[in-house]
Amino acid sequence: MNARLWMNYVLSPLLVAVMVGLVALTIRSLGQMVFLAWNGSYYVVLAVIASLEASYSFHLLKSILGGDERNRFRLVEIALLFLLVRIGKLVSQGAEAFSVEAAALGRDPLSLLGDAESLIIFLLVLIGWDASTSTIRELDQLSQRFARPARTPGKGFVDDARPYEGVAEDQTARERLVRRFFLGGLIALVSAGLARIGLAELVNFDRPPVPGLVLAVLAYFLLGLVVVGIVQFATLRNQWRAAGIEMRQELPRRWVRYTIGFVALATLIAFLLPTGYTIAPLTVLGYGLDFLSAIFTFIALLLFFLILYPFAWLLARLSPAAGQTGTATALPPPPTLALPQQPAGGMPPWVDIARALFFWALILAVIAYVVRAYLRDHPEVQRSIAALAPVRVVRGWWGALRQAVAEWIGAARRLVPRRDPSPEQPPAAPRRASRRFRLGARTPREQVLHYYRGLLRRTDQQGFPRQKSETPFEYDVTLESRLPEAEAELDDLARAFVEARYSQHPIDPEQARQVRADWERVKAALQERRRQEAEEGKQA
Amino acid sequence: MKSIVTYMVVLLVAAVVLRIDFYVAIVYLFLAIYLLSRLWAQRLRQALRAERHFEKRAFIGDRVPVSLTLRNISWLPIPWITASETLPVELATPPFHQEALALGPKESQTLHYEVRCQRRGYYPIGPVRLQMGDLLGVVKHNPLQVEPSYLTVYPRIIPLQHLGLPTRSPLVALPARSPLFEDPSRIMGVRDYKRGDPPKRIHWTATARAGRLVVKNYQPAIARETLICLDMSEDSYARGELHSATELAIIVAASLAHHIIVEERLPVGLATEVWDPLPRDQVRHLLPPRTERAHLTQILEVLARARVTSGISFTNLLRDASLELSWGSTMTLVTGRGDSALLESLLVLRRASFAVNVILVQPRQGFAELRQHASILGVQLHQIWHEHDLETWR
Repeated sequence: MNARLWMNYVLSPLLVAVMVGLVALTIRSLGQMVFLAWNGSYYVVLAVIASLEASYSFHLLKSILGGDERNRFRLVEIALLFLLVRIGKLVSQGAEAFSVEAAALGRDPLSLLGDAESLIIFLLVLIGWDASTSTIRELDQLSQRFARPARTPGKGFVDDARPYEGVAEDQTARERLVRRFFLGGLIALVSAGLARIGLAELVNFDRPPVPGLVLAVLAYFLLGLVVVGIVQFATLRNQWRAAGIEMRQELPRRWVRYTIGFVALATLIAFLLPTGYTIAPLTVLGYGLDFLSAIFTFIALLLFFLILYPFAWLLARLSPAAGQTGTATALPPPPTLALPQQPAGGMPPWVDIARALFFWALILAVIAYVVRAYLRDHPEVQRSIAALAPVRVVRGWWGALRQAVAEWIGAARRLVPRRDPSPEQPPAAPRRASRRFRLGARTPREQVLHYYRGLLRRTDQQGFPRQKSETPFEYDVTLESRLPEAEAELDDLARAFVEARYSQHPIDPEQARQVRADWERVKAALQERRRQEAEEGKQA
Repeated sequence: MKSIVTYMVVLLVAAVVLRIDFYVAIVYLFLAIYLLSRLWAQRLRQALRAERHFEKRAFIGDRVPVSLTLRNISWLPIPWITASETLPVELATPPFHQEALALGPKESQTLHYEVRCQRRGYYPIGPVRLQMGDLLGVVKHNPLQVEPSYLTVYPRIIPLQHLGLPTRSPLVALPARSPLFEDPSRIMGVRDYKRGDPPKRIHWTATARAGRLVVKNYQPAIARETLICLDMSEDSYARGELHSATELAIIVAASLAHHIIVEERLPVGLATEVWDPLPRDQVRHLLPPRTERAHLTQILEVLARARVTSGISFTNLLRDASLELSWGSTMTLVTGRGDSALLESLLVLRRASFAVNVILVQPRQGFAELRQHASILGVQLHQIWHEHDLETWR
């Protein structure tokens, strides 16, 4: 059996059946939560059997049967599934249930249709069976397309220029598979989540967090990710084959290896990160504010204490009572730091606060990064958000605020007299660490170098990096062919960079400002080009 | 996996609201997938190096093997790359070479293919478009492009005899009646030493034999330099046969240069004004006469790149080129124009004491009359034409 047959007839059906079984497990646990006495194991077994049968029947129908025969086969199949559900239920209830059911069937043949439980389980099994059939069909579709003869490059060059008609179909099949994977995951998550919380506690937000991991859900997602990796490979492989791109033999093997390693690494990271929190976000914020306020209060009191202490001491010394009794008047006690207290628990309060802070900081960072990355990948979304009226108003306010602050800082600088450094004292060494992050504090030379590095970084990201062998001027020529609209600015940037990098004379701050303006224009041209490429990609 | 971000956000909200820890774990799983895919993709771009190796110069009929080495310099593997090398249609069918491969950590793999040099020219090999991606299709990847390298295919060189052109005079040095210049490589004989003769002229062997000082007597000669002037103006050739005629003119120029340097071991230069794909501009090439093989290579490279241009004056080129030449040099004009303007230029060149001969790449109509005019001026005129001539020269 070759790899393709093994994949189609053995591995894919098994993977799909296991995934369906895992979802069924979570549904069973939900059912058991609702109906405590319910033994739903037979449902899980039937879901797996139905999934395997779906794969078998799909291949059988595809190769042998057609037309009316196919419909008849499907009807028999569904009837058999129903019968299996009935048998499964009876088996799960024990041997006595068989005789009771047989007696009932003798009295009333319609009792074969079963009760509500059987019908619900049958419906669930049927949904799993249908999902399995669709999944197997789409996997087979991706596989079959690869099996068709490829275009031969060179034989009919005009034909080779035709777009590959199967790309859209492959993409659709892939998207359907991924959507089904996510939907299955959602069902598993909701079922497992409800089973853990209980329906009554669903809207109780004061209840403690639900700890622990549902292995069935995790296993479903891990297997699903591996399947998505395989599907991605199949889609790409079809595209390559259709385009006449030769594929190296070792690629499939490596793909499987890398996918498993990649998913394992992601799982490890997911396990290492904190999943629970004991303090709600607003409470954490409250604690943070209380903490800061306690610190500020302590500092203020300490300052007052230090200022007033000499006076208090003098007063104590000079007061007539001190001379008579020989003892000084009692001095005020120094202030103490009173940090906010958390309600008593097993752990010290700061541990809970630190954990919660870490958790929320991580969640916020995640959200910020994901949103930022998403907007960077989808400039059209970014533009439509920026075009919204409220956003425009807020941006206007923000711009005005920044301008006002900059003016205030400028005015303050003009008011404060500039002190010339003393000739005896050497100038203080520059604080490199902070200057790295403050562009304005850099020398004009460093600023020019910074902008040129920015140019190199951006152009590298957009797919035309500078070659090692290229001088700045040679690279300038290359860039000009890509960005003809920014030709003059690119020239200026290259010239300014060479001057800043290799000359000894000081660089004029005005020149650095000019370079910044050039860089802004080049950046805008690069963004425009990127936007155009994205639109072209969409159209293609 | 476009919906992974939406899915993550929904799950995260559900996890925070419902306070179910394993929801957060699943969010982390997807987040790790997303972040690792992005970071991996960013690293891939910096980790990939591409180098192309091939012989940069070839002759027509050669098969040039090209190897494109892709190197992963990082410890992270590159799960897949497709390399699409664009090739000129004159060199390869189909005009691309494509392969899909994976690169392990610090691994390099080489793509091999061959191009067939069927026409002279200056061809870009590449650019190669490198498309990479992640394993799950989470991140959209911009392709990376590596700039092309260039292959020069020299024009065909045909033995000069086949062209029906003289292989000696007037393409070589001529004895001159005027003793203004003497050629130290041509000794006519010896004579007795006279007061004032430079010591370097003393023929020591003959002196020893004769028992008295004798000096070498040199043959008076004119310059032995030849300058090939190639007309690449599209106005100079018949409209319908422009391509064939200019290609033939280039073959003639290349064969002449090769013959003079390799067979005659005499200096030859080239003057032409062409559209040059190297600087992507119209360029006037004035290569002074030299005898070195490297100089021949230089001439052949110019001829390989030469493309027809317009709006240039061949007579201006002749005038400018003649200013750089020594007295009595030979100028060989390769052109398709046999009109009065050419005759006027020939007259000027003859008056400037240059030996001139013309190779006309044009039909035979009016050739006898032109030859007659040229012979009056003392100019040798040769004519070649027809596609099948090229076939017989192979």
